[in-house]
Amino acid sequence: MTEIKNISEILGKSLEELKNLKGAQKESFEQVLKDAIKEASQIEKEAQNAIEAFAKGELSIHQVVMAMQKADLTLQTLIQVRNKVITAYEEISRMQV
Amino acid sequence: MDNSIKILEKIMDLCTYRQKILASNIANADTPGYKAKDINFKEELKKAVEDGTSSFEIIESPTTMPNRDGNTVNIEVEMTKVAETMLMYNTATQLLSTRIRMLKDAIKGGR
Repeated sequence: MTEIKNISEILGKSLEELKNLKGAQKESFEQVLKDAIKEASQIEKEAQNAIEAFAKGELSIHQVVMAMQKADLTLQTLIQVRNKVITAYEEISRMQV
Repeated sequence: MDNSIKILEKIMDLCTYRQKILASNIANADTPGYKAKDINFKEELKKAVEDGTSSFEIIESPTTMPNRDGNTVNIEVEMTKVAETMLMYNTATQLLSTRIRMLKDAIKGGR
């Protein structure tokens, strides 16, 4: 299971290093989001494969349940992040200029 | 629909079917000359998933010594099989409900 990580650990850079980055060196928000979505999709596929393997008797019950719960948790997180992004967008679009 | 849903459905079909066979074995525990029946769970499941067949082959379950009246039902063995089948069925239902909830959440956007 993916453990909860420090953000600097995920990006492989310390906060100080991140501050000193310039231009294209910066890890764009878009890229981070894209990677996260890709990972969620990958975990989802793994869960599907786990069910197939379970049907063939290659995986035990706890393994397939774990894979499924992992996919579920990832999906819920993804949905909540999406909702937050949309809320933020709406708030900005309503802003008086 | 989704492939994993299809597989889980087959697992549940097969569990229901096996449960029926096991119930009839237990019911016939005192019938002279009755041979205990079963299905080859793994083989049948593989066939069902790959070909989509819904008819299953019944085999005579391998047993230890038959009783004097030729009956081959062993209640303990049957009860173990019932427990096994129930566990499989419960797992499949749990996985299926998680899967469906995930799809519903994706549709509703978690609201």
